[in-house]
Amino acid sequence: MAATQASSPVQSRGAKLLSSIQSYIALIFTSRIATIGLAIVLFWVVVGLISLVWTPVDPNASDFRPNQPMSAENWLGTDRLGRDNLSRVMAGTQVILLKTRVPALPLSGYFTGLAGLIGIVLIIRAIPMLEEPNQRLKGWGNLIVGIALIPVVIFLNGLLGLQAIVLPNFVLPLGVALWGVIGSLSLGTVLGLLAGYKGGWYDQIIMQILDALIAFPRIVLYLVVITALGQGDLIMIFAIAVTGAPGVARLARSQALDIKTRDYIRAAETRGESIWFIMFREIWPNAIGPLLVDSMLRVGYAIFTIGTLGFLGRGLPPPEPDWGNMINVARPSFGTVPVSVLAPAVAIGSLVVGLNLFVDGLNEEITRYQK
Amino acid sequence: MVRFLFQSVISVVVTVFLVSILLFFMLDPSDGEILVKILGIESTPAQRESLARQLGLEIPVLQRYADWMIGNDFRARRLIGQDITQLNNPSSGDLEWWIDQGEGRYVQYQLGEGGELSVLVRNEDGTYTAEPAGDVWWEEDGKEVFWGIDDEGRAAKWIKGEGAIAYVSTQTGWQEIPGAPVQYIPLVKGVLRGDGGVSLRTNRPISNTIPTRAANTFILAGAAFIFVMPLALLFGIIAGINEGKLIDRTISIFGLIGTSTPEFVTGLILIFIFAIQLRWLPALAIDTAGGGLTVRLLTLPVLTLTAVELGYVIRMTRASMVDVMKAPYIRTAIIKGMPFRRVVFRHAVRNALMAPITIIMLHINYFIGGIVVVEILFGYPGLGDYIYKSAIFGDVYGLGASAIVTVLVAISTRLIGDLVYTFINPRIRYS
Repeated sequence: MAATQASSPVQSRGAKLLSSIQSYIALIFTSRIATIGLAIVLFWVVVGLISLVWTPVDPNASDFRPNQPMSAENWLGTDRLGRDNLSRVMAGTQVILLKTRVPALPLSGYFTGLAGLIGIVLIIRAIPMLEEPNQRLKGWGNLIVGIALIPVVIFLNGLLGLQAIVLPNFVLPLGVALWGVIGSLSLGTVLGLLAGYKGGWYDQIIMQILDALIAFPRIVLYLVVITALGQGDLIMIFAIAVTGAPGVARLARSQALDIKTRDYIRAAETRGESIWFIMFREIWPNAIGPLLVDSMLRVGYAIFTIGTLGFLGRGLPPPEPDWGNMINVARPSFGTVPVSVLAPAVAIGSLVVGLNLFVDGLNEEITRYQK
Repeated sequence: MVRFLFQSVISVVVTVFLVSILLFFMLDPSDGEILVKILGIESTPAQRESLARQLGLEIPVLQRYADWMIGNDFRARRLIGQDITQLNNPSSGDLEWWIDQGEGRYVQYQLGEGGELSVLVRNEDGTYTAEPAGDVWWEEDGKEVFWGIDDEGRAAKWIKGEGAIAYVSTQTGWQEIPGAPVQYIPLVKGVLRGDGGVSLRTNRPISNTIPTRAANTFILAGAAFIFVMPLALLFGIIAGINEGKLIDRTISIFGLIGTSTPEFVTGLILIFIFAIQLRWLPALAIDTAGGGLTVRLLTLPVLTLTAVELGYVIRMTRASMVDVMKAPYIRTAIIKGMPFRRVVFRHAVRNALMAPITIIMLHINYFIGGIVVVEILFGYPGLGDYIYKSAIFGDVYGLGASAIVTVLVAISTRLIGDLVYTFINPRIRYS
């Protein structure tokens, strides 16, 4: 790290980034545990990438020989519909890590979603304006327009008949676990920084609501959300984001409480920067380290959760193979064809354990340098 | 301290309130999906509408939320104009609502075939004898109406000559009953008064089910706790005093692997080894023989919970032990020539155990989550299994009440953890 700071200002931005990445990689390899963890995780990522282009058999094709034990033909046997377990375990990484299936939605859904986003932006912009006496009117305007946008758009959707136009389903890169963690990271960071930096009533109200979410045993909250909204990749992402956000927010809040006492924050306030500038250009870059380590752990929790919900029959929807769901479906014949249950179980276990080993080892190295 | 307690209590109240709003409005059953689940996919719209009326689903949602929270017996009492009370039905053990007419006379009403209202007078043993009700009607908007309690224990409104058609469940299936009440209020005392209403899934009072389920869960959790704590503290202390050595590494890594493996994976692997391969233990923790819970039944669930929880407690104990072993007073004790064993047991352990014991109380939510999964995996009849089945069925009352119980357990345990920590660590003061 010292070498990076001492280098000449001529050094390009790309080179700086490269050297900082190199120092992180070096950090990983100093810890044997982190290296082993990373190897396990990379193994599954590579398996997933391979499965995108090639699997021994089509993971959804049945060869009409159900519940076969391990054999030369089907290395991990077949499931109760005669599908090859090896191919399904390989392809099971996709929904978790590599792809998210967005279902066919009516155009109105996208329209409302976009309007909702604009509304949220307007509301966020309104908050600093309300603080300034000379901009208060404009702030209220933004707030009202922002809040009114969604019902107006829903009404317009009905009027224009956009319900009838359905856009086809498509696939987003990155899996459900990753999007879920990105969601909880964004939501939690915004709420946590706002609570920590603004303090007072903001802090009280935000933390009280988040406390109510934390008060639920997690699995109960997941079951409630999924029972209420149904099964689907987007709903799973939403559930992971909502249940993860309180934890992220607590961390971000404690970081913000610490950082907001620094001189450079005082300087920015004196310059008259808006609170969003201070929160995201001044506090956030300094709080990102612990948040990133935490969110890597959260990827592990998310995979854990997707697996558990799949096992409970409330996970990601078929037909794409999902490990938890494979276990759920194969459980009745556990006694006769144990491999159909054990193969996906070991897959989930190893991926989660690998991630945890990686983060734990990395964390240990980072804190060692800090001491 | 008083201020801290006051703030905590306020926070608990607000949290439970928010939790109840979240649960009730997210799981609102009035969209009719639940009716299809209860009646089956081949039910007619008329049957569904009748059931919705009997369940009180056409009542506005805010009113239903208030009913669910604080009850509606006082509202019903005003409508009926007589005192109503809950009595135990000896044959099922459930509480039922009756009109209390004084002098030990408890009645319900039922509309007979000919449109004649009959009164059901309760006998001592919980059965009833039907008598003609006579003229109990009163005038309202030019119609003769009557509010009473029907034979299912719901407040119901009859209109003379204008009976609605109701579909009720009988031995042979759903049967059409003419002359039924036109409006129902399912009586409930409210979650805050300890009555979560009648489960949509089992059709039995929830407040009867939850205590037995919770007791089962408590047995499982207690068994796991008794198993985990000594082991974890022992391993944690061993790892802590050997920081960085091979034994510490081994314990830490195995602990981490145990904790980060999902409960159901651990459970399935244990089932595979002990139930399928070795055939030593049953794969399910369901008491089929009626012999009560035995050690044999509980072994695998407890082992699974142990594997998951052990690592976490070890980690906490180890970290705390490492911290304490670096403290100056330990160094002093070692330098002055005290035997290492005595340093550890006399000086270090006592201080090191404070932190993990309280942190474990804060960990309760994860523990409850683990228990839910383990109960489902082994079919153990605890609260977690009930929560799961209610969630799958969409039984808002069952899920809501049991989720609030778990939330209360979690919050109060955390509060106790906070207080214990303040108590044993004089350096923390709430001011």
